[in-house]
Amino acid sequence: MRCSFCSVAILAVSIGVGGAGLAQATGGAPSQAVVSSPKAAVNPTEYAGAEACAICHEAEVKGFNNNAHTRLALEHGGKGVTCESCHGPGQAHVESGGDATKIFGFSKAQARLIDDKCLGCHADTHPNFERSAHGEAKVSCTSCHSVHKFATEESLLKVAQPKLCYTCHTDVKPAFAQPFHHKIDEGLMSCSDCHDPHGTFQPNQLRISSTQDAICTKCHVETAGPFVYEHPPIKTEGCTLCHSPHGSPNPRLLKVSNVNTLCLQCHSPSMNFTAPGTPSFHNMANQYQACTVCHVQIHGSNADSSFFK
Amino acid sequence: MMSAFSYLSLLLNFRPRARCGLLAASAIVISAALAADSPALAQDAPQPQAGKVISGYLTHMSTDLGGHIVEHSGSDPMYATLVNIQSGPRILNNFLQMRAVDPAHAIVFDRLSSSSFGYGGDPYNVTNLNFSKGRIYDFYGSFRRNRQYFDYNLLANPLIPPESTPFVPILSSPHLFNTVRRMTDVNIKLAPLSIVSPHFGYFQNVNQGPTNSTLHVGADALLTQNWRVSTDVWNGGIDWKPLARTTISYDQFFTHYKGNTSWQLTGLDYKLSDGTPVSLGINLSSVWNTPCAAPFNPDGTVNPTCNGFLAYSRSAPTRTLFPSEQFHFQSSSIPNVTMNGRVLYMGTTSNLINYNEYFNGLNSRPQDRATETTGSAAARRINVNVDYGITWQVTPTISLNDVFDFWSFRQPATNLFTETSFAGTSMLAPPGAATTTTTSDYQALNQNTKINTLYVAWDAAPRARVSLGYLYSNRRITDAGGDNIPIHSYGALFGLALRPTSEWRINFNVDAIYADNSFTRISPRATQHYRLRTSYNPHPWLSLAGTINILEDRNNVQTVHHLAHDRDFSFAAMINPNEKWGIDLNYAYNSIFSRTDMCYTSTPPVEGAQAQPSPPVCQQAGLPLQTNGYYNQPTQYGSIGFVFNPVKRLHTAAGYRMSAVNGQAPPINIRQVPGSLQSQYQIPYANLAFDLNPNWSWKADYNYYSYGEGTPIGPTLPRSFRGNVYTLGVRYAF
Repeated sequence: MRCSFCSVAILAVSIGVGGAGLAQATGGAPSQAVVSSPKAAVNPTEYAGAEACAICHEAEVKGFNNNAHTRLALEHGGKGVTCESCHGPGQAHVESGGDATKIFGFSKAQARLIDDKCLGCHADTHPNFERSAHGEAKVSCTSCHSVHKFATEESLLKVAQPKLCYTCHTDVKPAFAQPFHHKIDEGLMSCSDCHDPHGTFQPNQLRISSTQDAICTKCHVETAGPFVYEHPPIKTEGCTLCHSPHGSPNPRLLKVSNVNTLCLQCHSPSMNFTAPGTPSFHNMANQYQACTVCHVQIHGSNADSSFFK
Repeated sequence: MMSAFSYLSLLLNFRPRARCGLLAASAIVISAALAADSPALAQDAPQPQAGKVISGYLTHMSTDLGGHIVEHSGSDPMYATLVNIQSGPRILNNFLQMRAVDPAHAIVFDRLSSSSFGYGGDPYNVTNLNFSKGRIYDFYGSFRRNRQYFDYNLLANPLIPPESTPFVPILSSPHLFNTVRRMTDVNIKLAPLSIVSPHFGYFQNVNQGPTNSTLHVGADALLTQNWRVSTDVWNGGIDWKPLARTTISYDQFFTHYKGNTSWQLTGLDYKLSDGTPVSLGINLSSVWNTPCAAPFNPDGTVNPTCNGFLAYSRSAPTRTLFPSEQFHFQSSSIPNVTMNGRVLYMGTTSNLINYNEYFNGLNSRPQDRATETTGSAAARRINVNVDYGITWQVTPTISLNDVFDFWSFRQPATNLFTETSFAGTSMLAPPGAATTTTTSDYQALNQNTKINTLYVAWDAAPRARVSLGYLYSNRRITDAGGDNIPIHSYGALFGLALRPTSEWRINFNVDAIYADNSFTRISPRATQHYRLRTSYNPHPWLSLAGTINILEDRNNVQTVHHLAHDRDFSFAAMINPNEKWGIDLNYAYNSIFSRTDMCYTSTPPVEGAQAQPSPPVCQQAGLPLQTNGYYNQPTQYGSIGFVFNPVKRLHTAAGYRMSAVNGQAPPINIRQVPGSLQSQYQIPYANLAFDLNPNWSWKADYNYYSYGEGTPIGPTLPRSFRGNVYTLGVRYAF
């Protein structure tokens, strides 16, 4: 039980108790400034200073020394971002002998309060977070990031991608184990190449390419167009109408195994649809079963309305 | 990524007091480190060491040198398609981290980190480089190179009937490719902490290599496609923070696309009676009478009146410029209100200036002996995006959120081609009289979309949030052919986020969206999406997670009756009782299903298939048969991983993962085989690391890859393979 309490408590405190090493390293005075907070009312007597934190939380200080926030801590002559910038004034916590209720602890705080703390500085880079699927689901910043103990220095992730994402998205991990998949597990790509976990204006937190197309075209540039003869659904419905982006047992990540089936799903005559039906001479027992043998440029063409070339 | 054992060894260095807490704080870390350790290419982060102070920088570095020994059997093309790890020495990993001991005296940078892997012949090579100097700049750069080999021989394969005489099966995919993509990305942000902060970036993507393609001109020729496409993206912008918690930004992007792919004839496998090499293409079948009823003369030479290719070339150099300007802002300066938005304009111009195509052979239907085509094309895309999102914290527990997206694009495009056809009826005769035809065309595709999503989130209790929302979408698609398709969608959104205890998280979401129209037959008019995610960490050493993700789509209108679902049930458990051992378990079942009324022609129809007379709308189009298009793709996934560190210096891990599918596709073609739709992909692995001393480690890694299909292979080569990949290496780190 004590271990559990200890564990949770340290998880809570681990987010922010830590700048003492910085102060020590730079020889700076105990930090009083809270540059990240817009609420300017600061009573210096409520702050204990980072050195005081280090007395009990040495391990967390070690972690903090390695992360990008240390740069901020070095600002203003060593009075930049330190423990109390995130955890709030700590003097009462110190004077109480470490009463966890007298300081802001991240592990037991509501997601919105945690997010407010982080977005106080990072709202400009993550402006959609509160409206994102993660924000709405109360997946707070500290669910994925840790200021003190992280696997990646750049983004302070607790675990590097994609493993971090897989811990919750247990339905996505299997897709990347299928024979045909984007090379996430191999380290060539990361989930955040296509998704912004902090939210975007796109569905599924997808990023968009610099050409304002689906993010797919960032790599698959030849499909971006614009073409004289567009295959219209690609532009209007998106790549995922035909492809399963994470992984598939089917080559080219197609949603169905046979090209002819995929094509016929749309190109069968029917009422109220303008997509042309399959011509009557396309005998499926003959060579016409492999539609893309002839319709090679299926993503669009400048020269042929039938996508032959 | 940090390997499980490196992480666990880290724990050993902490004092007992901290160890307990650290275990709790990062059970997720250990668990996830266990979770996906496997294939030979999974990259390890370096094992942190004490570091050395070099030239005023506290420096950590590690280098893994070694190599692969690979042995595989079965289908070489499939091994190359799915794995493609070959024998040879490698720089398996490289890592460098430098941090200024006294940043005030560091001149160029005060932090630098770099990591890379895979150099020396692996299919994936990646380098990341980051460095920064206090409040002066932040730099991020990456280089990624990957070789993409693809030869799944059923794709685009005409499946030549074995009854054909001669029987010339297509043994490789006519759309085989072997390309290399190189992507370089560099970004720098100046004065990142200042009120005004400019940033610049450059991204390049070059994709090139030999590929195969096909072309239908009478016969279906096999072409060598010299693939080369690239983009260069330059961007620059400036962020201005006029108020606390308000940022206004302007960005300019220039994207330049170059398409230099060219095509040449290949497969000149036969000869005319005068000895001229000729290609009859990939559809050589006496059953189909292709490329003609009698392609060969009695002496074995090619019938000169048959469809065939003597020569072919095509070049279509394309240049596209995508300049775009974007203004965006973010503000939370107003109490209880956060908002952000953007306005973007992009005016794209794409030019195909000098199209050049030459065909020499015989296209018997129009009696073309040769053709020359030249011309040009131009397309524009005018794109406007306006997005705005706002959150108003009405009370401490209730927030009102609204997101509005406007997206409009229009694409006018024209082309002009001049084709000179030379008449002829025999490939032995020179091209005859010339006829020149000039054609031009105008096309357009336009879409205007407005979507508004409004929802209320209520923190009903400190551990519970309920959200209710409404989505409205208005989309209109038009084109040069007179189509004018309005689509209105209405959706209800529900979300529930619960944390019954600090260790248990439950999220449940339902989206129900209905549309009054659809653009394609398989675009849903009705969508229900249910998502239930839960995670439970009752102990620092135990983590459980599960997901139910069900997507139901319907476009249930007359003559279509499209139904589809994607139902996923998955579970994960990570058990890490102590630093000596741990287990990771995963299981998932994914059911993908669709059915769509499809009509077609087949003579003969597939025996035993569900082919039935098609409805009048198909009969009128000459498509007498109908199938319900029943397609299912049930996939099982399982993985198990062990980490075992019996002594401090020895780190071991082993595991197994597999993905198996046993599905059905509508039997439309009589020679169709399920192929990968009934397949198993298995990857057992094991690895071992021994710390020789604080700086040197010896590592061994074994991966087994097995791919198999449980059905007849079809009229081509088998696709199953198995492979052993042994990786040996040493790591030097400080």
